Amino acid sequence: MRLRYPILLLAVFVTLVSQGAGPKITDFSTNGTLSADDLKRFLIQKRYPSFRMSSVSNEALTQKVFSKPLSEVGIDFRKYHFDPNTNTFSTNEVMAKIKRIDEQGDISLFNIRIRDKWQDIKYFDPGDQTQEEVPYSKAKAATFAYTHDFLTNGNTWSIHGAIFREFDLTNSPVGPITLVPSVTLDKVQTADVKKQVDSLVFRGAAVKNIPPVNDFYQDLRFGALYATDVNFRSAQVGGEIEWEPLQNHWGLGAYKGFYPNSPVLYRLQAFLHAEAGDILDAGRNPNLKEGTGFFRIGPFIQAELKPVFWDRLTLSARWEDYEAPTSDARSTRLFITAASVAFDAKDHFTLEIKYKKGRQPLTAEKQETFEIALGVKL
Amino acid sequence: MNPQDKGGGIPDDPFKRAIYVYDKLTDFISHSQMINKSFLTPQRALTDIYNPAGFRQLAGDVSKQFAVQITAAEVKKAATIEGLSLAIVDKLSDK
Repeated sequence: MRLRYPILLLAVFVTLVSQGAGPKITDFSTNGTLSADDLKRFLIQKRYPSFRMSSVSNEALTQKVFSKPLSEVGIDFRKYHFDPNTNTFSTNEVMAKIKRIDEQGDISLFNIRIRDKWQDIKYFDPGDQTQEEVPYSKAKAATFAYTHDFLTNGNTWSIHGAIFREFDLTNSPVGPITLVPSVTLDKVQTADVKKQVDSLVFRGAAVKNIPPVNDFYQDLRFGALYATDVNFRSAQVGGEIEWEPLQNHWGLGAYKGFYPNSPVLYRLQAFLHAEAGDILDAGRNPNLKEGTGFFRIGPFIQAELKPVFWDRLTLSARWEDYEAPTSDARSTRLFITAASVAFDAKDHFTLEIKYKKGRQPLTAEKQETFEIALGVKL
Repeated sequence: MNPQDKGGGIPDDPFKRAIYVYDKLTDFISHSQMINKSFLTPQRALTDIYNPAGFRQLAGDVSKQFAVQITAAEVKKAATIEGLSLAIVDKLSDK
């Protein structure tokens, strides 16, 4: 009786595995080889599991009902790098090519993004279907660093990153728009209180692309924010608006070579940022004046370099200069330069070396740090 | 791809037509003004687009080249050279 449930679970598991296993190539091959038509039937069966392609004759394959599947199989020949002019394929070669392409997947967690900043929305993250190609991504990784000092028995750790998810609304009153709720954490925990950074920002933002001007496309981001710290001692509420021009031909938003066959690519990002709101509670942050308002405006500029011959390496420099015209709030200027090396082809995990100097946006905490950190990007 | 190739010389066989479109699309993207062929392979070029501007630019360019109406949303949905080829093949089949 005790074995009933394990056996039941095993049966369910085996059923699920067998469901996902796909068609058997041996049902289509003869003596370890497939003809071009055998391969077409096998690939159609792979795409349409409910079909019974092994019983479809070569003549029947030309019927109109197979027109769409055959178009897809034509693309599959390119996707899996099968030569359409070859008439004989070995099963081992076919399975090896399919395995190599199909098993290269993206890591995704309910489409939740974990990145350096919430603006790192990539409008789609398809990854790449072929192993030879490595997709570039605009986004940077969220980073985590930890140091234990055995002499003082002190711990230093830092987290910088944003968690967000985008929701595309196509039928809103203002046309297509993307909603992006996010939480951004910047935390540096050290024994020296003066060197600590503690910023937790909740945002409800929207991204709207507005009509292009000449060749320049434009994104407008706007929304509300609630800025606090991890203990929720301080409280700021307000809003932000950002305008970002995009011009792929110039490398403004996409990688570009300096010249034809340039061994190094560059990519630029620039946007104008404005933020305003009220400081409801300064908490323990001496940089905030409780009961006052804040307004800051200024540019965000970032340049990235990537060598073609080693595209897992990315060098970047960023300057954020959000000036406060009034005396109630501090200006927040922050310079970050970083080098990162990706562990995997999808840049999900990286080793980062990062130098930051300036003041943290919104909380205005002063910082100058050098970190060697682990980066995670989903 | 020469302008006179538009709509002409496309094989009737769906398998061959898909390969034809894929090759033409790859060739077109390699030489398009938007995608500088000096630094990106066609596959990477499509996956590198992250903004609506890029989708619109490519949709407009591809629509002209294949004489079909491809929208930015369709390019975005296609996501890959393979996907975009299939979208074009579907449009050509409907013509």
